Amino acid sequence: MTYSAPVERQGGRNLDNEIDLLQGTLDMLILKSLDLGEMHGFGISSRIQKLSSDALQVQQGSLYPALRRLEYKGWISAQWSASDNNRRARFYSLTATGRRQLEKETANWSRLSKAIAAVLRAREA
Amino acid sequence: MASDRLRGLLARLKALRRNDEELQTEMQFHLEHLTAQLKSQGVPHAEAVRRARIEFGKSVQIRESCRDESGANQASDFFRDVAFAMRRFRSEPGFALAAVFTLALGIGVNMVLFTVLYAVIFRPLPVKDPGSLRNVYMDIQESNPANESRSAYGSRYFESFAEFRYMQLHAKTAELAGTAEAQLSLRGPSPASLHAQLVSANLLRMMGGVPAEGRFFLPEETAQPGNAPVVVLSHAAWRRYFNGDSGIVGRTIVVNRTAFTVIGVANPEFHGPLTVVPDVWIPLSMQAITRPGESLVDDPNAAFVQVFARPREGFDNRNMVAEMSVLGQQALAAHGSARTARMQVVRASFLNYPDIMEFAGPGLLVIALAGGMILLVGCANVANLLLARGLSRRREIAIRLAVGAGRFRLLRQMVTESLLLGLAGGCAGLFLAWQGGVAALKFVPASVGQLQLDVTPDPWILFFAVALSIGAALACGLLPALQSLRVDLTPALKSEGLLDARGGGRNRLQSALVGVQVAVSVILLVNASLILRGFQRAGELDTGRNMHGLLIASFDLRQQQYTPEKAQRFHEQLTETLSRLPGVQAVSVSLKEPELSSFRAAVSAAEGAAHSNDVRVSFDEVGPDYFRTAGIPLRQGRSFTAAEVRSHAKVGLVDEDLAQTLFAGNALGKWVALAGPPGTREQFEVIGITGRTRSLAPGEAPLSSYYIPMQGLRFMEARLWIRYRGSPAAVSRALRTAVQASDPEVTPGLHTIEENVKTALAPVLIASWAASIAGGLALAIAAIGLYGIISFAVNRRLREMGIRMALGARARDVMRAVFAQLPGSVGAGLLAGVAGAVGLGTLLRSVLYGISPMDPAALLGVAGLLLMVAVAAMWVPTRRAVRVDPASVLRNE
Repeated sequence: MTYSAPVERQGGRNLDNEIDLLQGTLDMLILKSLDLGEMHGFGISSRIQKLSSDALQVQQGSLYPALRRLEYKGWISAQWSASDNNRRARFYSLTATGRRQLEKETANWSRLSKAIAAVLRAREA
Repeated sequence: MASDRLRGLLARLKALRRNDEELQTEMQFHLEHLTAQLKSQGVPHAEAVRRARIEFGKSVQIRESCRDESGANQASDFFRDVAFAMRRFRSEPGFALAAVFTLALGIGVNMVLFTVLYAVIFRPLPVKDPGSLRNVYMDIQESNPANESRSAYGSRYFESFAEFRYMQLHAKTAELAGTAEAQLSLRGPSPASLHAQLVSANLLRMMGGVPAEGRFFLPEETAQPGNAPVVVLSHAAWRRYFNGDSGIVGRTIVVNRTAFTVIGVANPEFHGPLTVVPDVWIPLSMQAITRPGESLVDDPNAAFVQVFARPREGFDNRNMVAEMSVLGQQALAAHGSARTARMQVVRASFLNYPDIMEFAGPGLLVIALAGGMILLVGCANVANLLLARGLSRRREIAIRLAVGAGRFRLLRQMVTESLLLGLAGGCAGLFLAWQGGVAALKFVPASVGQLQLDVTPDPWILFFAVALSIGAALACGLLPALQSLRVDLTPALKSEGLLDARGGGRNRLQSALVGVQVAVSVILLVNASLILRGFQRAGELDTGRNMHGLLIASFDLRQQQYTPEKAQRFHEQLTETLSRLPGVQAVSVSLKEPELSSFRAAVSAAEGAAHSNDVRVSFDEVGPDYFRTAGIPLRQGRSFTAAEVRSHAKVGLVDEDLAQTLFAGNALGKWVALAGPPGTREQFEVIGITGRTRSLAPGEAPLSSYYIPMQGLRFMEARLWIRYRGSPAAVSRALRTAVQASDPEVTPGLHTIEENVKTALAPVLIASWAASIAGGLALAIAAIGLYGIISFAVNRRLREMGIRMALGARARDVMRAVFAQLPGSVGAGLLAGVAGAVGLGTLLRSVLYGISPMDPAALLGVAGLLLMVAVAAMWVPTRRAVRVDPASVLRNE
């Protein structure tokens, strides 16, 4: 099963500025944003956008399949309840396995980014 | 299992639809928030909606990818597999039909066996609340057989009336009811032989019967052996014999010369707890009128009551079992028996006596084996079809693998195909078994009575059918599927014609399957021909008697309430009348219905013989002229005189065998005593030696014979044997007239010896038919399989053949190349089959009449037949290979 998770900069029809996320990164971002508290789909995408200072915008075409996938894997759970303006919305929250998964992925990520940074520095030198 | 899977799929599909709706709402919510956000940044409403839509993307696409991610596809994959398989079957209807038909036959045969066995042995009774109903059986442990005698009618695990009453009165945890079966003669405007159930007062109500007219029995009517001549009619008997007369209750009917008052009619659906549907119910306490002179109901050692039990309110099965084991022992002790009783409480069903399994076990095993073998041959055949098909599909499979299909996914596809075949075969087999069972029940002779056996499918039958179908599907589908996945991609994609050399594993598998088929066919065919030869042998067997011109008459003297003295007078009178008839040569009485019944005894002592103990003999009590009537030669001494029979003289005759065993030939004047109850041991003086005889009944080991004059009680059930010349019709007419003159109430039953032989050999005949059909079926399936394999191999190698012939190979060489494939597996199968057949044949000894299981005629005959069929099956496609026109084959490539 393969999937790609394009995440674009705001206003991003500009190919030069597009940031391609590595496979699985979107999952990690979703898990992280849910670690801060339960949220609905729209909230998750705005949260990621806000936390990345508008650098990352999650496309809906990637977000909802990813949410379904994470739900199927049992890392997040969903529940219908009322949103701030009293509309029915599907709220996602992190499960215990999801939290463990997030820790694992965070650790992996920091190892990976350190390694990549080291490589890049070496080339600059 | 399968239904569970289906239910799971449906649930998932339903969840899928719900998920879709939820997703729709969720995305709508998202879209509105997006629009609101844009508007808050100052974008006008219409533009905000448009931009939000663009940003959101194609909602259908999103929904589709959401589905992929949430595992919903596993459900739809299954349906896709099914749809794909159906398309394939439609494009190859011949293959699908052949496979389904083969599996239907194999599964059907096994379903018939299972359905019948299940109906007889396991199926819950057609009565009220059958689940809580139990049978209570008494297993008597003989402490010292010489001290007490116990007689059993029906099963040795039944109880006597006294024991049953004791247990019924004292049982606190359960309600007990008892029953027995009997034949009654109904007199009146429509005389008939009635099937009667003798019952305790509570049985009808306990089994869920409701009086349609009148009432059922009262407790006091069945409590004491004696006089409560009341009868309850079945609804059908009421309609048939009394035209549904609404004033029937209170009327008197005469059965067995005893006047009974009709007290009620049962509801139409009620047939009681036994296999045979009864016409009437009478109290157990009236047993004496069913066997006059042998009042079982007064004999605490005559076991004839089958006991049913149901736990009372507040008690469970364990309580009941515990109490029964105590009560059983007490019931024995109550009539002064020193023996011990082990009680067995078993779930109620038609045939659940513990002795049934001991008796029928080996036969059932043979039948189940034969059924399994037919299914095995069928599976091997379908497997071969699938293998051949896998070969022609290898290009399709190679393409699918090349474009990235998972091997597991393909395996699932192929297993789904064979599961569909198996289930279709199972459905057909189930239907076959059901209708076959219904049809077979119609062939039960009227003298046996109507049987209430239920062969309609129930959950257990369905479960067995599904299990059998899935088992068969996997047995025939898994190996070929795995085999066809072992494709080497590159050559397979290029061309199919060049692949011949690489099919080694497939060829080995095909050959092994052919070997199995041949072996099983040989086993079934050899046994069929052994049984057939046994049947022929039985017809030619020297029985030591004259097997022609003998008429046997039986009478219902018991039902007509005769006393032994009156019965003896009846026979003497009839003998005298008949002897004077012109066509009659000799008349006498015997206990036996020749070929159909026999009596055994053991010699307990003989004059001057050291090892006389436990010599088993076939024993008969006969009249004065018996040996001339039966056509048994007298070697030495003389037969009984009329005076000896009348005075119960202590004289007897032995046959040559017994004379040799006991007295080294010098038997005349010596005495012999038979084992029997103590105090009744009598010594009989040998006055004559007869020729040796044997019975034709299957399973009867030849025994020495011992004859004494018929005495007393035995006349009640004596047969009259009449040796005649000319046509039996005249004699039987004369006999009927004579009986009519002597007592118009008595009905004679007449058979010729030829009819008896036919009846005695019927099981062998049926067995030989069944075995022949099974063997023929297996052979046909195997032949089709062989034909298929060879023609397939030929098709694959047409090009090679063409090249060879173009290069100058002769037809002989080509044929050799094709034939060279199979002799190994056919030969190995033949040998294995012969070994298996000889092993199974030893189990059949009882119907072989001395034919050895290694009978060369049967073995060589079958081997020859099989080789001929194999060669013929291989010949046709091989011819095609030889006729190949090299030019056209090469051009086609």
